[in-house]
Amino acid sequence: MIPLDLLVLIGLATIPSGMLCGLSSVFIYRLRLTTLGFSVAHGALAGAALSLYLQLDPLPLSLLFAFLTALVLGPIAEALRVPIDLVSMVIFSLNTALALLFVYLTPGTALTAQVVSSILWGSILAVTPLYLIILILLTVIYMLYYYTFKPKLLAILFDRRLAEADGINTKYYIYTVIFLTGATIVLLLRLVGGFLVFTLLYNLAVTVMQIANHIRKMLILSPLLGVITIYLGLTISFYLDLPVGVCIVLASLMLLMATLGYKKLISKKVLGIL
Amino acid sequence: MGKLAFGGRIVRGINDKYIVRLENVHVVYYGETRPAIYDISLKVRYGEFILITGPNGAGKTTLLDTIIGLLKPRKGTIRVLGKNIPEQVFEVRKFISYVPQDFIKKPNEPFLVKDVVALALASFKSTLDDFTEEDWTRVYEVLRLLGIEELAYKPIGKLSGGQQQKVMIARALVRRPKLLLLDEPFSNLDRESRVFMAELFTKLNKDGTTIIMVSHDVSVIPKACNRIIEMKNGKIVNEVILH
Repeated sequence: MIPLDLLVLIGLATIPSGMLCGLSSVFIYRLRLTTLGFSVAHGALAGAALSLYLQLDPLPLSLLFAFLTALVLGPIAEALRVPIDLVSMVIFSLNTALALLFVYLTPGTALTAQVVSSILWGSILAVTPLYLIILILLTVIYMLYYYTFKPKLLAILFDRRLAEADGINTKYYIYTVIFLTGATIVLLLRLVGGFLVFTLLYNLAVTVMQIANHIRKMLILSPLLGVITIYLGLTISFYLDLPVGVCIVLASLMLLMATLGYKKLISKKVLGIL
Repeated sequence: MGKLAFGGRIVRGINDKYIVRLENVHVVYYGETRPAIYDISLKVRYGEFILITGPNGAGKTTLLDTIIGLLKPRKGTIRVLGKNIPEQVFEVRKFISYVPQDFIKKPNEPFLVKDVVALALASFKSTLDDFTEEDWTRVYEVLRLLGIEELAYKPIGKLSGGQQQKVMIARALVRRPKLLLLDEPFSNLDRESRVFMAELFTKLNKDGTTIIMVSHDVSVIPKACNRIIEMKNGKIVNEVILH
């Protein structure tokens, strides 16, 4: 039986984590950062694996690896003049190789270790008061960042090259988005798990595209959908006693199916079939 | 055609009578060895209207991208509005509007026409600023001028190629630029729209906007056009002064 105070914490954590998921999903979709989740999540995994090898607490190193991944992606892409998505996949392969190497070098059954397992699959126990505060803080920073630079960010989301030609120094805005999105992924890793965090982000992006034809609507609806998804997933996980990450992703798929059904219904009504 | 409120004052760079000045500019694309443009020298006076023509692959778009600092020259010097490019590029881009070539968006593009035009003003906004009533008035003024006001609330990706091209031109005009760079602005437009645009560009130029227009199609040449420059294989091969 989950204690009441943990349940309250989980309930509260639903709101900022859902909002972060939603916002990040729109930025990921528009800036073509779809592989960002892979590289950052596997960065965390590599850090955890190194910690196990060094017999340290896995959390600091997994966070460090994930943050470093988010931090270096933009500058490397700029230096090599290749899309960020491509650099992200290169770093993903590096992080995966490092994770496997450290797991291989670690004596015993590393992959079954509880902490690595929680990074892979996520855990409801990850929600602590400190975790909640960090989540809220990141949500506030993300929202403030968006509302402070809204016209410029929207111009970049429309077309980066045009925004650059208009006189917006796009790279600093994009690096900040990558960093904030990377931080979101790092935090959500603990709840949803490394295998599923990126799936959740993509599912939300596709879902919001079904119901909003306008970027401003997308940026309002996506945090809302994020909160609904995470709340639904946690509820399913709680009642059916299933892994939390799996349930959140399944909830996001249910929401996607529901919006697809709704869209189909509307188009049939418009065509006069119904 | 409605009254134009664009163009505006001519602001000269310090000790510089040219709005654009390129000297011996070479541009080589990343990973390539052959220059895309080779030893280009070009001077454009304030208030001039220049048409750059030539076959595909002549280097016309590369030249425009270099003037606006989207491409860095391997050799040579570039000054635009009295500033060195690319070093001081962000100081001059606010005075320039750029219409890129074949800018067609997909049907699921989540941006309405009015927003696409308004976002051209984003670079003028300070921190915490949002679009004002005056900005929206400017947006609708331009949409009306181009005869696409009724498209304001349509997603840009749902428009035809010609309509999207008009939106891109509206986007450029709403900034009231001192220098207008047009890359194949007549592509996707029918004959009637091309003539309309040519007249519009002429009027803008007469109001003080310097225009550099790239077009492989010379069937419609705006009356205000002063010079035609022909490019081939990355070089300027011919220059005709009209008036």
